[in-house]
Formats: sequence, C-alpha cells, structure tokens
Amino acid sequence: MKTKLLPILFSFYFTQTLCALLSCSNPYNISNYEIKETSPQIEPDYTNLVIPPNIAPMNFTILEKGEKFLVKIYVDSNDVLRLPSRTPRIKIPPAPWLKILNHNKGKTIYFEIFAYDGKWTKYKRFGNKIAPEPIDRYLVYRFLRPNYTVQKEMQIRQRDLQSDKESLVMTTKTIAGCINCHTFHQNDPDKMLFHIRWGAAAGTIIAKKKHIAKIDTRTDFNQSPGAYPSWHPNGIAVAFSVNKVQQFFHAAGNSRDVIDLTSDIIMYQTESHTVVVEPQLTSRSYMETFPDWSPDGRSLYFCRAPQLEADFDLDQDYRTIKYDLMRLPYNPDTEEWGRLETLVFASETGLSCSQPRVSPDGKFLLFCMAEYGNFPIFHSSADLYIMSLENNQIHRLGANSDAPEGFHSWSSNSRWIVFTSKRDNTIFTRLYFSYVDQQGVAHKAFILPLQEPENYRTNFNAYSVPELIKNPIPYRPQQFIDVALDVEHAQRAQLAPGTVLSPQPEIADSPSATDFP
Amino acid sequence: MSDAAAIKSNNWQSSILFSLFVPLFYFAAIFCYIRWRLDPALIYQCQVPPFLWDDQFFTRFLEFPGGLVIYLSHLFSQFYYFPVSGALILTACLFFTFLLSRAIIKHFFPKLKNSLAAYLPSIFTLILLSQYEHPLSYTLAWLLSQLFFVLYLKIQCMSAFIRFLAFMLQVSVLYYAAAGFYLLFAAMAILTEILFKKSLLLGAVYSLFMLGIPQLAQSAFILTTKSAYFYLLLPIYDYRPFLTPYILYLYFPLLLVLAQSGLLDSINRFVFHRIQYRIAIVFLFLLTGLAALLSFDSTMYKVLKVDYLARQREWHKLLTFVEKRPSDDILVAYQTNRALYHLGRLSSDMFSFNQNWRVNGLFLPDEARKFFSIQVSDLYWDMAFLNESEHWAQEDHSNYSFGPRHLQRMATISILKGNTSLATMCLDALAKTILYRDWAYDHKKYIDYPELVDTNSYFVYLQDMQITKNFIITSGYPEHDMDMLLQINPENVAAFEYLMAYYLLTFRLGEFIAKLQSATCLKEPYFPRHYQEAILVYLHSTQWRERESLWDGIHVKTVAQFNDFTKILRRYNGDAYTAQDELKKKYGHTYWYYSLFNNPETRQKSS
Repeated sequence: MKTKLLPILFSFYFTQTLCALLSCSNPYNISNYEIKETSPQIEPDYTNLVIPPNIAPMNFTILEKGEKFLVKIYVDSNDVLRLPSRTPRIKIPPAPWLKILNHNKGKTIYFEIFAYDGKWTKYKRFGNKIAPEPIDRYLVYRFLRPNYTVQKEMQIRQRDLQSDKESLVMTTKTIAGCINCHTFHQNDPDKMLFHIRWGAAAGTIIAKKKHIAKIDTRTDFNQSPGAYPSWHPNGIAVAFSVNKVQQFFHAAGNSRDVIDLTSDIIMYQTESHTVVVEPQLTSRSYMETFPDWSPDGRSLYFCRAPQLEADFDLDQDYRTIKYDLMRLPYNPDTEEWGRLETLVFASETGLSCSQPRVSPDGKFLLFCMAEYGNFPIFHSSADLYIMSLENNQIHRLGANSDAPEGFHSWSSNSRWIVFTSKRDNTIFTRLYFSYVDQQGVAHKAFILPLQEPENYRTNFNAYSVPELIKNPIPYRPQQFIDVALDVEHAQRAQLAPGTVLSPQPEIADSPSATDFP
Repeated sequence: MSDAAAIKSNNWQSSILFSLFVPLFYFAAIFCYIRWRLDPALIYQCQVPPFLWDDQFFTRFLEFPGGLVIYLSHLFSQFYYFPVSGALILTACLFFTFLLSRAIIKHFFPKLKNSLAAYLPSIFTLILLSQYEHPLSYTLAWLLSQLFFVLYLKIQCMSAFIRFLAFMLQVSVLYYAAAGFYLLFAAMAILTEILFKKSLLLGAVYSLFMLGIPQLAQSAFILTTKSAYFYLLLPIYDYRPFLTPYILYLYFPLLLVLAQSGLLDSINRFVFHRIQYRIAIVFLFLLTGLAALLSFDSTMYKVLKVDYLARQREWHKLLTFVEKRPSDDILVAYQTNRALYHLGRLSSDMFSFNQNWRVNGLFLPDEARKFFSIQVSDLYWDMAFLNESEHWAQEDHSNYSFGPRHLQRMATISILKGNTSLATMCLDALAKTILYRDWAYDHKKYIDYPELVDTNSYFVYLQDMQITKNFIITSGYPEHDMDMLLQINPENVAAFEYLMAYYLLTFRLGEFIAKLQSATCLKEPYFPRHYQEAILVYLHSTQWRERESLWDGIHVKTVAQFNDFTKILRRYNGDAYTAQDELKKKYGHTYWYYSLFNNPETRQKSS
C-alpha cells in the first residue's frame, strides 16, 4: 500500500510546485511599474557609447535604490537577455552577450533597467552602438603602485578583451628593478621589446621570431639606455629616445612631476646591434623625444623642445618647457633623412606636445598637449588631440576629461584607441577605450570592463602604457626572466662605424638627474 | 605496595605531571612572556600586515606557491594589534609545535614523548618569534609541514602504494600552500621510507618527485629556480640567531638519522625516575628562559615602542619611556622630536634629549625616508603640509600595499582636498579590514555630508593652514620647504618650530635671529628657553648687544645661567673638554652645551 501511495504523493507534490513556479510567484514578473524619464545611474558609466563587437561583458553596478533589479538587454525591440538580480551588481553572461554583439554589428544595443523599492520603477533605457569593427583582442599594460622613489613589484599584464582573462607577461617580483615601455611591432607580439632598469637584470629585452635577447643600448654617444621606443615597419630598426629625467614634487596642486633635462633620439638596428646617430635627432640645441614611425616607415614623428640652459632654474623655469610636434622624412631604401618640419608650434598653441602616435592606416596622429613639459599624466591640463594627416587639422578629443589623459595607442584597424586617464580618482590611472570614426572623431570613452567592476574601488594600482595587440604574447614570463638574469649572454650595442660624436649639454651633469626611470 | 608497584605508580604520576601539568604551566609562562615582555602590539607595529576581507585581495595570494600560508599569516597577524589575542595566537603556535613534535617523537621514540626533545622545537620557534620582523608565515608553514608528516606517519601501516599516493597528494598540496617547506616534509618522508621502512625504491621515487615538483611549478607560476625550491624556506631577514631556523628545519631529520644509526638506543632503554623528571622540568624552564633572554631584541623593542607610542599619539608616555630607556636610534630621535613638538616643548626642551642625529633626527635622511615613509607623512601632517603628507603616504603604499595607516592618511587628505572618489576608495578598502572598519564607516560621513568637515576642528585647522601658492619641494633641503611654508602662512607653528630647530642644530644663528625677529606665532612674553640660550650665544659671539628687542625676550635667570656657564668654562681656562663633566651636570640640557660640544667652530674658539 505504502509503495503505491508514494509515487502518487510525489507526483502531486511535483505538479503543485511546478504550478506555483510557473504561475504567480516569479518575483521578477513585472506587470505594474512606474516610469521614470531619467536614465539610471550606473557604475562604470557604460551609457551612450560605441562599443566593440568583441568586448567581454560590460558588467556594472546600478546606483539607484532598490531591493531587487531586472535588466533587459536587447536589440531592435526584441528581448534577448533578461537579467534578474537581488543585488545592484549586474553580471552579464558572456556567451549570449558576445552572440548579441556579433549578430548586431552596426546596430544599437539597449539596456532597460527596473528597480524594485516597494514598487517597480522602470528607468529610461539607454543604448550603446555596436561598432562594425572589432578591437584588437589583447591588451598589454603595466600594473603597478605609484612608485615615486620607492620601487616595489611591478608587472606587465596581458588581458584578453573578449574573455576577460588576464595573465602575466613580466614581473619584477623575482628580479629587482623597474619594467617599462613594452612596445610591439605593428600590434604584433611576435616582435616586441621592453626595458628593465637597474640591477643585474637591467637591459632592453627584445623578442623576435621566438628568440629573446637582452641588449645594453648604451654607447659612447648615449650614456642613458634607450627609453621610449618605436619599431620601424621593417621590423629591424627601432627608434629610441635617450633621456635624462628629473622627478620633483609640488607643494600645492598636482604633487608629482617629471621633466627631461636632456634627450635625443637614436636608431638601433636589432640585427647588427648598432646605434645610428642622426644630427637632426640629436641636436645640441634641442631635446628630442617620443619617436613614432609612420606605418609606411617614411616619416618619423617626435617632439622636441629647446635644450635647457646650464643655468636652468627648476623653480622658476619648469613651466617654460614646451615641446613642438615634429616630422622628419626618411627614405628606407637609401636610409637617408629628409628635411625636418614642425607640425605644431608650441609657441602658437601655448601648449606642449607629447606622445605622438600615428594610426596604423596613416590617416591620423593622436598626441597629447599639456600646459608644459612632456610627462602629461602628471598634468591635469593634459588632453588628447587628433591631427588629420591629410590636412593637418587638429581637434581636441571629446573623450577627454578634466583629469590627465595620455599614454594612448591604436588598434591595428585604426578604429579604436586606448589611453590612460586619472578621471576616476586623480592618482591611479585607469584604462579607457574610445571608438574613432572615419572622420577622426573619438566617441565617448569607457573604462576597461572587469568581471567585477567594483574591484576598481579597492584597486590601488595604476594601469598604464596600454598597447593593443592582435594575438597573445607567445613568450612566457619565465623566458624573459631567464634572459634578463643571464648576464653572460647580454649583448652591448655599438655605435655605427663612422659616427662622429658631438659634446653633450652641460645640464646632463645635474646631480638630481637620473636615466629614464 | 611492592617496589615494582611503587616505581610504576611514581612513573605514572610523573608521566601525568609531564604530559599535562608541565605543558600547562610551561605555555602559561610563555603566554606571559609574549604578552608582557615581547608585546605582540609591537610586532604588529613592526610588520603592519595588510589584510582585507575581499575576493580580489585573497586571489592575489593564490597566484603563487606559499600564498595561502602568507594569507593566513596576514589574517592571524591582525590580532597582534591586541596584545592578549596576539599572545594567544603566538602561544598557540608554540603549543601546536609542541604537540606535533611530541606526536613525531612518540612515533619513533615512545619513551621520549614527554621529554625535553618534544619541547626543543618550541624553544627554537620561540627564539624566532622573538624577532619582531619574523613573519608568522614561516611558523605556519613549518607547522603545516610537520602536520603533514604526522598524518603521513599515521598511514605507515598501509601498503606502499597507498603511502605513495598520499605522499604525492601531500607534497603537491604542501608545495602550493607552503612553498619551500614541502622540502622538510618530503625529506622526512624519504628518511622514514629508507631508514625505517627499508623501502629504497619508494625513497628514490619520492626524491625524484621532490626535485621535480618545482620544475613543474615553474611552468605554472612565475618563479626563478631558486624561489621555486626555497621560497619561504630561506629566511629573508638577517636573524640575530641566524642558525635557529636551520636547526629547527634539521631537527627531526637529524633525529631520525641518529635514531637509525643506533645512537639513541640507550635513551630508548632509559627509565625515568621522579627526581630526573623534576630536574628535567627545571632544566626545561631554565633553557626556555635563557633562550627568551638571549633572543629578545631590546634595541628593536625600544624603537618599536617609541614608534608605537607616536602612532597612538601618547606623547607624554613616549617622552617618559625615552627618558627611562634612552636610545641612539634615528627613529627614536625623530619621534622624540615630534613628541616634543606636540607637547609644546621642542623649543624649550629638545636639548634635554639626544640630538646626536642633528638635522636627520628632525626630518630623517633620504635613505631612512624610503623605509619610514608613513612616519615622514606623519611629520608633514603635523605641519598641515597636505601635498607632502599625501606624497609620503603614497610612498608608503608603494612600500607596504594596503597598509591601514597610509589608507587612513590618503582618505583624510582626499576628504580635505575634496577628492571624494579617492577618499571613497580608501574608505572602502579600510571598511574591509578587521581593525579599521569602524574608523572607515565613521569617516564616510564626511563624504556623504561634506559640510560636516567644518564641524571637525582639526580639519578646519588643516584647511586654514592650506597653502595656495605653489613651490617646488626640495626634499634634500627641508629648511627651504619650511621657510616657504612660513612665507605663505606665518602662523604655521610646526613649520616655524622645525625651521628654528633646524637652524639651532646647524648653528645657523644669523638666520635663526632673523627668523625670530620676523616671527608672528610667538605669543609668550619670553622666548622659549632654547631660543633665549641661542640668542645669548649669538650675542656673545658677535658682541652685538644693541638689539634691545631680543633682550626683552630673555629672562634674567637665563642670563645668570649663561654667565655661570661661561664662568665655569673660564675656570677651566676655556678648555671645554676638561670642563665637560661639570658643564654636563649643570647645563647638559642647554643649547650652550650642545653648541659647545657639537659645533666645530665654537669648539675651536673655546679651545
């Protein structure tokens, strides 16, 4: 008798439960709601953007009051994703998210947010346009603490922008020193380089065709090793700036600051390990820095300012240092340089140029301008500007903020830029993306999406020097570390035969000057 | 009762005594030593272990072998802040060390289970814990390795295959949790297999696995070869008893080797009597007391105590402590000067305290600043110099990530500067700590209701002191920064007193007098004592008597004392060194004495 009753009771119970679930008890079954004509506040601000079709879920936190929430994500009025949540933290499932983006390139994806606070409220929807062009899938950046005079562990990290996975490229945890200036040849990580400063591991690490080498780029001409680099499109030559820098602090306003005391640009040949010195890039009267090759390899863009005088008084004169934006033609076949031209005169704009980066299609030049100097990330006046290389017209990016912006780079299809900004907290730089259309207009910027966006709130590290690459870096951190610590096999650069050295400016002897940090 | 029964009864009583009461009293005594002598709050002060209840914080520790033990170490070390809970944690560590040691000894030498041999590892650990820098992670990792070995001993009766599987699992887990300490466990398991189980093959396989696992780890984690094998195992600090960790590591492996070689057979046959137990107990306490005495770092204790009192702003207690227990340490000098300033005694009593570090004792030199970054931030905070205080708080962040002190400082400065986003970040982080949660919640009100800043008198003072005119900070010349601060805000008392102290310590009396005459922040009818003394030295050496305004600020008693000072000197025909004892006795706390024996020029003149 018992055995016969059990299945009946179980069936009854199961049916009852199913009915209850399907009929009336769904807490997110919203039929009555109040409509608010304002857009909801969300953090990060992922509203009214142009977003890549291959970006990982842009999770966010709803800042409106509520006990529970419902987010509907759709394109063309079709409900696609329905995300109920008991907390304001909205996590979008990756697979359906990427599917929507991929199937709706060029369209607008809408977000509709409902919040329950005694009764349901529906906020005005917002939309983000899905760009037809993807962003390069991988992003490489430095991850470090402020590191003013105290240097602790810093890392170079790689992030898959589509899957949100992060991995280490290099760390100073097992080697003492500072790592910086990771640079890739045309967004391709097969050819890359970065520097290690100080200690036994110091040197420039150059990886090419699965081979990694450590180079000491110092020569009789440049006592400082190479700093800001730019690969020539031929993949053999690299233009480096060589800088003597001075860090100092302000008593009021933005605290930290850096200036160059001297600088030049050299050409390093990665196959012959020779350094070529071009007089127009190593003038005694100017400080040249931030080299950047055009994609055809026929122009070198850089910044230069008059060389500081021997009696330079930091306290009085630091604001007078202003850099022009320059272009130097080059013939890769004959290896001859052309005539130097000034693209932006600091005397005309009243601003100082830095960090020029040419778009891979060669149409635009993205650069920084600030009140003075060449370290924009420490100047709240620093903004990004774009120059059309067809007509030399310049305009300020709408993606700027009141805080410093800089250290920008392009995706290989020239439609996306990534840059650092301090707009979040004024101290720790974060990474922002912006879509640049065919006319060179940069759209509203958005912060690098994280799986847990709230992690930004307790993240006391800076993200800096973002570089977009097409593929993951094919080298393991341990390989870099092994090469860095292998002092015996480190190679030393030599001056190209026939190089004539000219005396260096006296300012370089300043006791507080250091090599590029 | 027969003799045999009496002996048996005696042994039973002794065994109870040694296995129950001795450990009880022993560890109670150790608790008292840690609580009242060592003082766990000072260990906290030394290490300031960062800890956040936060997924992101935790995940960082999963990224490398040994991270789990370090995470636990940070968690437990939070409770050092409270001396009782700190002492309980450390005593518990020593107690578990004893229990695990006893279990191992009981397995191999049952008769020694309650002997001194079971206590020796605790004594070695106590020596290590007496070092204020000693991170708990080392002790936790050692305990974990011994626990794994005890578990391994429990399955000795099982088949070789089961033991092999257990070893593989244990080594893998231990390597990930405690990094290099897996070597200790592996070495002891190998010795057990080879020496006691006579299983050479298993020993060889274990050895291969032991050597291979770091190679495997190098492909999964970022490790150099050295760190892959030895991370955490090799102490990173220069321990005073530098051999102690190695003795602790080798203790059981050596014991196993000695046991197998037959050297300990006589001990195994030994029958303890009550009198021998008593002697052993006395010897145990004596040995532990000696170890505690020798390993206690009194210099470090003094420095940390002073720094701790400065952190708690217990300025009176700080000065009393320094008077009772003088120290030559630069941080002690630095914090003493801060205490003097806060008690309004810097300009009248600074030469009553050790000023051998001269200007470095006021501002700390560059090389020390990098290490004591938060203390430098504190000084600039005293001066209401927010940019520099923030700068050094950030240096401290680079030094010691997630340190509560710099987070508090950055939060407060950001509130004052109106940088609510950074203030919120710092307060959110502090809200995830164990010790500073309440502080964080309390300070969030200044973000939610910015007008409340005006109700906090110290915040109002700091805002009033803010400088609007920028200048370039020259950290190598702090007097320049003080001077600039004063030019912008003449009411900045801290900047004024530190600048004047700087002039006194560098014997730049001309600039001292000039600054004194233009000072607006001196309200008393008489100058502070050291200023009066310095004026007299200056007037005496320059024969510049017509400055009547200066004379007004000098008390006749000071003039009389100065005359007495010079009289004593004259009595010794101007020979300062012959007169030193008498001068020190009567005027050792004056600027005259300091000036005479530290200023090369004055010394030359007097001689």
